[in-house]
Amino acid sequence: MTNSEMQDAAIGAVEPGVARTALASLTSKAIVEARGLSKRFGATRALVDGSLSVAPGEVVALLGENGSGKSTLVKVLSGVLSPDQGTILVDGTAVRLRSPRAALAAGIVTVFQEILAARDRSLLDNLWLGHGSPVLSRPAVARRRQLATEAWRRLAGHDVDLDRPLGELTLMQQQICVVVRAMLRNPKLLILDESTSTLDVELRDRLFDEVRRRAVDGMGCLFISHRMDEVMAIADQFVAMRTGQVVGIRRRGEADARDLIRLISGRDVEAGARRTGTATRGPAAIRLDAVTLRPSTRPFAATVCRGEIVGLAGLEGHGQDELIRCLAGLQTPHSGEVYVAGAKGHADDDPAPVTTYRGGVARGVVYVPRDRKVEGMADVLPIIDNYSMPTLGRDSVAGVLRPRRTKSRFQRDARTVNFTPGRQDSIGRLSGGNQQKVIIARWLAAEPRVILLNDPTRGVDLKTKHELYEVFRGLADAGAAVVMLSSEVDELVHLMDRVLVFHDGSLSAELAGDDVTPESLVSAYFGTPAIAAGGN
Amino acid sequence: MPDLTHAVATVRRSPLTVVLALVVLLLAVNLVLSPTMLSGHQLPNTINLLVPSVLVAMASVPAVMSGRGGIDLSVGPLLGFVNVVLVGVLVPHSLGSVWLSLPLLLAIGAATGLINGIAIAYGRLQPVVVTLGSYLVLSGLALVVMPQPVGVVPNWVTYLSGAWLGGYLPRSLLLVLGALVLWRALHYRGAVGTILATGSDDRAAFTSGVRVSRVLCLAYASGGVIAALAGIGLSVLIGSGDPSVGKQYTLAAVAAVALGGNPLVGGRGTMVGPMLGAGSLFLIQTMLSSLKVSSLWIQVVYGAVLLAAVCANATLASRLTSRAKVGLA
Repeated sequence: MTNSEMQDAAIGAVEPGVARTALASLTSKAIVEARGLSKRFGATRALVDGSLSVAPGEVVALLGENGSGKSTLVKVLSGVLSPDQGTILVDGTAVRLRSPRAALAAGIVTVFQEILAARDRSLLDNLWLGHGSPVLSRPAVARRRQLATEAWRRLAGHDVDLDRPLGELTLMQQQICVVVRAMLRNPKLLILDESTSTLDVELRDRLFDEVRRRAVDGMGCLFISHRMDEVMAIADQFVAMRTGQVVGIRRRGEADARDLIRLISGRDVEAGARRTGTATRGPAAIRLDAVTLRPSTRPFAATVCRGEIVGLAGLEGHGQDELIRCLAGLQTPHSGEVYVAGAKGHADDDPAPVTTYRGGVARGVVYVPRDRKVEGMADVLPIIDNYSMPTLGRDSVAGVLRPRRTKSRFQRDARTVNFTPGRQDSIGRLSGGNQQKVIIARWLAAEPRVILLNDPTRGVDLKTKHELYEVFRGLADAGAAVVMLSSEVDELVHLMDRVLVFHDGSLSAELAGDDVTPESLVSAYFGTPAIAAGGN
Repeated sequence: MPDLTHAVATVRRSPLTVVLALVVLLLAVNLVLSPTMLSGHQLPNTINLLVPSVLVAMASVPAVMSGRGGIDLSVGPLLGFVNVVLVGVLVPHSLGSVWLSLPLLLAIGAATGLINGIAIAYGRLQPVVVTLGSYLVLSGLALVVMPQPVGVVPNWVTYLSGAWLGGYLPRSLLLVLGALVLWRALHYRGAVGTILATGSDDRAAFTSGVRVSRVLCLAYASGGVIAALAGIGLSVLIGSGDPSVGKQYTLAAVAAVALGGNPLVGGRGTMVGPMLGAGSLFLIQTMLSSLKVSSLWIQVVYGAVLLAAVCANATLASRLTSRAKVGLA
């Protein structure tokens, strides 16, 4: 607090100097300017020295991969998070945005990535949620209804029953609701964080028209989208972020989609994991036939063999997560057939259809969930109990547990995953990486034949990551088929034998061996072939 | 016949359908069993008996609406405490006049609710734990102030126990009217809407600029004020001070809220539903005593009716949502 107060004072005082004069000239134009915003969560630096400015009538696109710091910057600008360092200026004056309410009062209106709306309340209530005057007289309500009707019609092109509870509306209508809500507040700066992902093309174009119309009247817009065609269509300026930092700013016309992708992904990718070269492919362990994950998406087919590590990649929510859950039997695909590992005991077994999670487990299919805290472990229980949970039955003799057996099994498997049991007893106190090791060790005991890993290195430090890579490679070499969803480009480039990239709910690219490069991955993420063909 | 189908849909959609049906049914049974129940002679007694239960159910409503596990267990002891303070402190110190004692008692209610609200909203503590704490504190304080039932109520409270219009308009209904006026005022100020929005999705409310913490405080404080009115209603009923009767109202109030069709997860609900819920619990009691069923059975019947009503509500609601989904597809 005192730190930022000092900074406020410093900015308030007129101080001659080249840098400052340059900033001041910028300030006079900008509606909202961020200077040196930083935010850390524990050891993670989510945002480092984030600076950008939006001038009246300007649309600025904020670009970056998942976890690059965009969302943190947006949350700071909209008053959800307070920055550790840095200042926000609105119309040239330093402001402190203590709450979303303060940001809204300053004219910064944000449409967040998730649909934040009260499902039990009517559409009308949601459109005016948190807005303005406390007394709701009859004329005031009538006026609100009329304004809401007009704003809805302008954006959606049709009328809607404003009295229906929001929970009964379609996802797209709910998305329109949060956008219209923002428009009704007449923003100075409109922040659209992935707000177009659930809109169809027609609605998106209407939204763009509305943004352009308001930009003429001086509204600024900070636009975030993972779709390059949208970004290229609307933005006047591009700000690229990587690992919490702004890594480049380009004006419209200075860069094409390819340049931007290079900027986002970063060319100098340091060596992460190492592909041990030629994987010896065994028989097929997973087969996908004409699978679609969502309605009206392109069906796709794929095979994963024993002995290889196959990565699933794509931007968050483009279908890779659904696929790995289908493989685990936690979800059924929209259509098509998923075959994973045959009945145990058959030597060269054909993959069999997946029906239930338990069925998969019985055939040697292991799934390590993404959110280990919720789905993967019992926080307060000792490490060894977490380890033995699914395989406890093996340690019983005539129905009586033999703890010593469990212990010796644990020691053997812990060695395999390079985990040294320390003094810590409860698994909740281990570091993320060590927790993941224990969870993987747990499944080694089940002699897995297909291992499904859902972003297993998320929140794991570099050294442990490499140890985990060794473990995965070892499992593949021992004849298991390893399928790993990853959100990290390095890991995909260096560890995977093949990568399946998902876009818009379908398989958009399959990259193998040396074709897996940061550039090829990221352009596949954004579905760039479509841009080359002229977009939609 | 679009009007008729619309009407049918409204009835089905309404969370009040079940409890309203229950009240009508129970009222009919009661009238058959004791036809004099609604006569001018008996009505004031009946209403005086009913008023504290109805008010305490109303007092629980805002907390439950506000979501995040919102509940106010302290309403029962608060009503007892208000009764004890009135009879045991204010009257002996000749502060019993209506202009002094009424605002003071309402302030006690508001302050208690506010303390609960602050602990829940700013302290981020669980409502069950916080209000259980104030439940125990208030029960204890009531005993400290007045160890045994004793004393007399001031004149204005005695006046409230009477009735106008030859017995057909009991004056204790003024207390319920007061609570309704307060709730209506909150409605008009848009506060009820924000309480419900916060209960439905507090993150959505927060990011839309709703001051969520203040809204929670307001919800608990308004519940406290209504609980204080219930305490006055209790004083009207018993005509003296009693430190031990308040507590038993808490669970009945929660039951009345659930019976009235308000989901305990918050975000939805009405004020009328829990009032009718309290009414039906009362009617069950009078029905059983008319039937000469042992009073030991009352709780068993309460529980069974409550479970049946909640099931009926859930069935109606799930039919509606599945219909809504079909409608969307």
